[in-house]
Amino acid sequence: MALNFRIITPIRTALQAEVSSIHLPAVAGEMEILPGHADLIAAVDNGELTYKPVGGEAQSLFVGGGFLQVEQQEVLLVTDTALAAGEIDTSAVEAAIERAQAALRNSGTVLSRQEQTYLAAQLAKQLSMLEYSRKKKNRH
Amino acid sequence: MANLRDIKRRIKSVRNTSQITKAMQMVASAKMRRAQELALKGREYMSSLARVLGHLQESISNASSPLLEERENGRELIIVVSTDRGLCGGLNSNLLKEVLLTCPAEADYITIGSKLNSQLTRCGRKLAATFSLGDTVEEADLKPIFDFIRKGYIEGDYKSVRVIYQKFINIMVQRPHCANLLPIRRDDLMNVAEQEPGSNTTTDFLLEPSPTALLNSILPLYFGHLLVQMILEGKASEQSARMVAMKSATENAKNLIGELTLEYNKARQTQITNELLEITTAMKAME
Repeated sequence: MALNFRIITPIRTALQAEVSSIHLPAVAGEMEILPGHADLIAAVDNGELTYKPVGGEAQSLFVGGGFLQVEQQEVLLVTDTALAAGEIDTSAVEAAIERAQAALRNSGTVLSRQEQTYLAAQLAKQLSMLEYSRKKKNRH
Repeated sequence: MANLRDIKRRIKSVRNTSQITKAMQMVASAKMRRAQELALKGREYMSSLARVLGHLQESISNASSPLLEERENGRELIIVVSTDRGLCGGLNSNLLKEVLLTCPAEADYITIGSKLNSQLTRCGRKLAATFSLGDTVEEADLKPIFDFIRKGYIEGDYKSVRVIYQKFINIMVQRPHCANLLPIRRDDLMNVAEQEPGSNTTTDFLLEPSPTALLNSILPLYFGHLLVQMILEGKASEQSARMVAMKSATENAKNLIGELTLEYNKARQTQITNELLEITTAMKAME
């Protein structure tokens, strides 16, 4: 028995595969999905997602925040970002972190609370993307 | 019979115009491919989001989020997604027709793309704001639009927000479409989700971390992407319409050049005949 796993982002279908297990960072803690899992909808955090294709080696991806839906054998992850380690442009991410930090530092009273939360969330995502990419590079 | 030089000048100018329309056709078709891809991919994302949201429908019915709330008082806000540039066939005039037909006159309007501003004002519609976006939809450009909607809606000035845009059907066909943006209604969710084949909303789902937390994060995301999706559709429609319009313009020019060349040749032949006639007459007179 295998799970039919799809990752959908606004710009592409990042993954469509038959997998035997998925490990991912949910907001409430890390989570493993195996065939036969109860139907579930969960909020997903930034971080590393690993999955094992049927009869293959474990693969990993960076995912941004989003939502996971398990419905019988269909697993659907709707997220804004899904990138493999090789697809992450480290220098661009670093520049984005720089910008976000500067904006947060200089914000003072200019930014509304909403904007600050948004910036902080963006920053957290970029940082976690960077961390993921570094970790992958060191392993090789 | 028109002057030879005049015809020649006209042929030249038509040829120049056709070169321009040809170039614009190429540019539009390149942009179209990209815009179309984004719009179609975005549809898939939207329907997946709507599907997840649809499964949360039981939580929706007892949740209280301003994004779900039906209101009695306030005006309507209508967002018209037109284009910034013209030369795209009947795209904008069809959109205007639809706006005048389906939208109440007392609502507030904002336009994305400035092409319809003057027409809307002339028809007595109140323009609250107008925004321009480039060919690519950037997050930073969208922020002021969202801020405007959010401010007007959360503070209660508006009871509902609707978007009217050109839905991309295929390269030849774009249809004006009017969709509800806020409040998010269950029926609309079902409509978006049902585009996805094989969606059946039956089973009970475990919800993590909690229904309220899920809704609070997924609703703003859904609302944001819904608007982005409609803008993307509008862009794809614009580029397709422009490509088709420019293509037919180029073809027209080609036909026109054909006709003019025929006329030019006739005129030239007449001139030659006349000259020969003159020479022979002169020769006859000399004998």
